[in-house]
Amino acid sequence: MSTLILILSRLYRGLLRLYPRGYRAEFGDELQEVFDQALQESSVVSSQKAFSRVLRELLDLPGVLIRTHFNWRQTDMDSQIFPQTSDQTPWPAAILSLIPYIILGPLATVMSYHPWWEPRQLPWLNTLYIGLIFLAVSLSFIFGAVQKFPRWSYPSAIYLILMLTFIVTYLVNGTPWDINHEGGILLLVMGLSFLVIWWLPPTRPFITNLRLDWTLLSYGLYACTLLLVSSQDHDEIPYLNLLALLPSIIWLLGALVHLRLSSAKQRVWVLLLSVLLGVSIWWSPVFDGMSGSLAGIFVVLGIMISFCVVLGGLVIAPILIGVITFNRLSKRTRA
Amino acid sequence: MKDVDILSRGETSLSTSTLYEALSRLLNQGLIERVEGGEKPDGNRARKAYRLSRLGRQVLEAETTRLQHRVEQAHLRLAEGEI
Repeated sequence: MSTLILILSRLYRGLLRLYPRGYRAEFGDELQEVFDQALQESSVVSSQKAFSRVLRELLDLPGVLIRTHFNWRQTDMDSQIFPQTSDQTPWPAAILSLIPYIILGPLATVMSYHPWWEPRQLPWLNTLYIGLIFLAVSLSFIFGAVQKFPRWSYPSAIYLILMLTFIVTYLVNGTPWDINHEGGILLLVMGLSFLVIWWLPPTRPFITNLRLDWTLLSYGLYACTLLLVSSQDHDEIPYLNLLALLPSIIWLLGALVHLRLSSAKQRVWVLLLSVLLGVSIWWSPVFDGMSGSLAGIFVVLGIMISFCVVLGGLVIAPILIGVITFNRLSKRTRA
Repeated sequence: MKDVDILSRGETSLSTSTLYEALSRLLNQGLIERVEGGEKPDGNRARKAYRLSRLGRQVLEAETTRLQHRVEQAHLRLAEGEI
């Protein structure tokens, strides 16, 4: 009997090779151990009991194998695309981190409807406003660096780079060469900022965290979309109403939900849905104005979809880069 | 597996593969967690065990209450002669 048990145990070990590699690494030894023990105990009762135990295993195995391969592949893909870094941001940090974006979003929309907001009328007020945002974003960036860049701090870094670009553009345009340098300046400032962040020890975690979870950069880039949805076409919405405020409020709520969720997959979905909903509402007044003709509907619909694709792509791009990098590294490690 | 056999009075016999399929799913859902046990009697390696997580306990309690409520409803109907 013991020889038969040994043969059956070896046969089971061979069958275990049909499981996915990761599953086998995690449960293989335990499966073998439990099977051996169950077989041993059954054989003590009777050889018929041992035979029925083996038969049960053989009958169940094909279905279990198919389901396990499917589920394991799904989990493996999800863990590559949406890494499980359950860094749920506490409520106080999540709310405080949104203050710069409340100033940039809903507050900017409200103020843009005020008569004295025109830069020509009160230039110092605009300068003061930009200074206030710069201060809020810089403080957010510094606090983020102190705490080794948690999720909430990522938009601050992106905004800081954008604000530096505006400042450099302003300084360059103030020179005798009054040429439109914005595109080149953006690339130059971004490149230099990246190098500085890479080189300075206190800001290095910004890059090292990204290697673990590329959705951090998605959240950082998501912040850029606020600049779009908080700007208003005053011809389409001449008076301040809820429709003018709604896109930036949706953006803020999306950011808050993103920070509070612990599932990486849900976090990315929230960003995407907020972008799509925000852009759709932002475009709806234009849509209303052009819905008189069929051509008008198609034109606005086309532009709206293009915006959604570009901004959605902006949120998804870091994750795709992360997956490609991850796959390359895995292949290199295997080689 | 022995527990399942005893609890179901021999009506349900669980295979190793089905047992670990369920364990893997419950682990992914966060309903159970791994516990590193002590050494095996032969002293070879640590035996792995599983226990209910806090979430798992809450889900189990909720499910037990739900089923209890259903049974009570059925008893009530039977007593009233509605069935």
